[in-house]
Amino acid sequence: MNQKTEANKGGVRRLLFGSLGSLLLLAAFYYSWVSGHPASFYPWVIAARITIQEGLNGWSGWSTVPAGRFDVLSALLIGFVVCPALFFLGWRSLRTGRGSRMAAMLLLIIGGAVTVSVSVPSFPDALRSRKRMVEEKEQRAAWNAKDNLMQALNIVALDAQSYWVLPPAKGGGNNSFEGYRIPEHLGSHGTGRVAIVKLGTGELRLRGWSTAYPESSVLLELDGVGNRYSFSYEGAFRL
Amino acid sequence: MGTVWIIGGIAAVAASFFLSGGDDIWQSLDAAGIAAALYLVVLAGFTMRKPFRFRTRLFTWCILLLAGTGVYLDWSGMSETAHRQKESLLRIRGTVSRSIMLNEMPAPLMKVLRSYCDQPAKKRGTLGKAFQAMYPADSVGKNIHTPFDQQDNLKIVVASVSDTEVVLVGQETAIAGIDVYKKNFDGRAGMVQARAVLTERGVRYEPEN
Repeated sequence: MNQKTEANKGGVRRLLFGSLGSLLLLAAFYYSWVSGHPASFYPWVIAARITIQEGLNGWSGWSTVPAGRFDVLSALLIGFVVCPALFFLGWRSLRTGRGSRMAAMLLLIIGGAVTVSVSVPSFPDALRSRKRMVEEKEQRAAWNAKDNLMQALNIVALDAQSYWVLPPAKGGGNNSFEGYRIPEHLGSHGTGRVAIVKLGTGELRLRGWSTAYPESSVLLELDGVGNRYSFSYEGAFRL
Repeated sequence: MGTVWIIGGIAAVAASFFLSGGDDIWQSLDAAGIAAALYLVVLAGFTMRKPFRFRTRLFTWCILLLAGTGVYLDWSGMSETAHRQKESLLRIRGTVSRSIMLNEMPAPLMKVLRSYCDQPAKKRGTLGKAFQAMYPADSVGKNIHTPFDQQDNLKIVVASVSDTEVVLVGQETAIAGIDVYKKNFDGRAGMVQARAVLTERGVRYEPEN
């Protein structure tokens, strides 16, 4: 009879501590959801924020190093040292029966809740971030190719404008693009090539192709009189 | 005993974090992460010894291995993504800067070239004189770029003016170019830089970094 009562008490205690642990876990998730940082306990997410902030500072021309190193260390210590230690030591204490059972249970639940909340969501997060990384890599490669082509086209356009201005005695077209040829060193470069697709007295169209994206191109229309540029994009460069 | 384990762990991980400190937060974090992983292995080995049964131990080690793999994948993926994002932001800034230079630098030279070519051949004089006539205040060494805002660190300097050539050098003072060791016009190294040259054959634009 006594044994049965003890077992019931143990069950109730486990249920109470289990509920407390679940509540703590839910509270942590709710807090992270409300605060907008779904992974506040992840030191690598805090480090990523710092790295991106450094990029933004560099973008703005500032050389200040963002703060937050201690946040990274704190998250690492809580998630990977203190809480796992509480969990394992609490579990061992429960198993061996040494020390206060209630304290051991509390350590096990609090330590376990944080440890699980740090380690379990990392799997889906890792999969998501890998997928995003591949997509961004492809997008970025296209952007870089497009930027390189636009720069190459701009440099050829400048050469064509000079041709338009210069008199024939200096190798120019005297207010005309007629007879203009792209200099060889400007027409092709390591990552692509530029060619004339339409040539008129006051109009020039240049098209640039990237070696990495042969199906994609950038078209530059140049008006010699007003020197107006306009770009249009094909294929992967139409982003 | 438990306090010793926790304080020891904190000391070991914090020491790894601070001793490996560099400019990049990830150096410190990776070192501290390795220390934390070793600590967890030792801690698990210590606490899971007998009277825990073999099955419980095996199960716990499997869970630890799985969780460790997940954390490693997320950690390394996030590191790569963050560095790529940072690199991308800096590259975009470099591209914006190069585009501004390409837009700003040739324009005054092209204006001089037009004016020079519009004059009758006998009255043309030199390119240097044509430039000075059009921009009398812009002497050699002067920065002719008016910043767009406080974050605009671009400088466009009149590098040289001669009878046959006018050279403008555009240089950023805080935006890194492609080659970090490339010597810049103002003595710095690694900044975005380009050159626009006006000669009798026209205006030439040369990206330099």
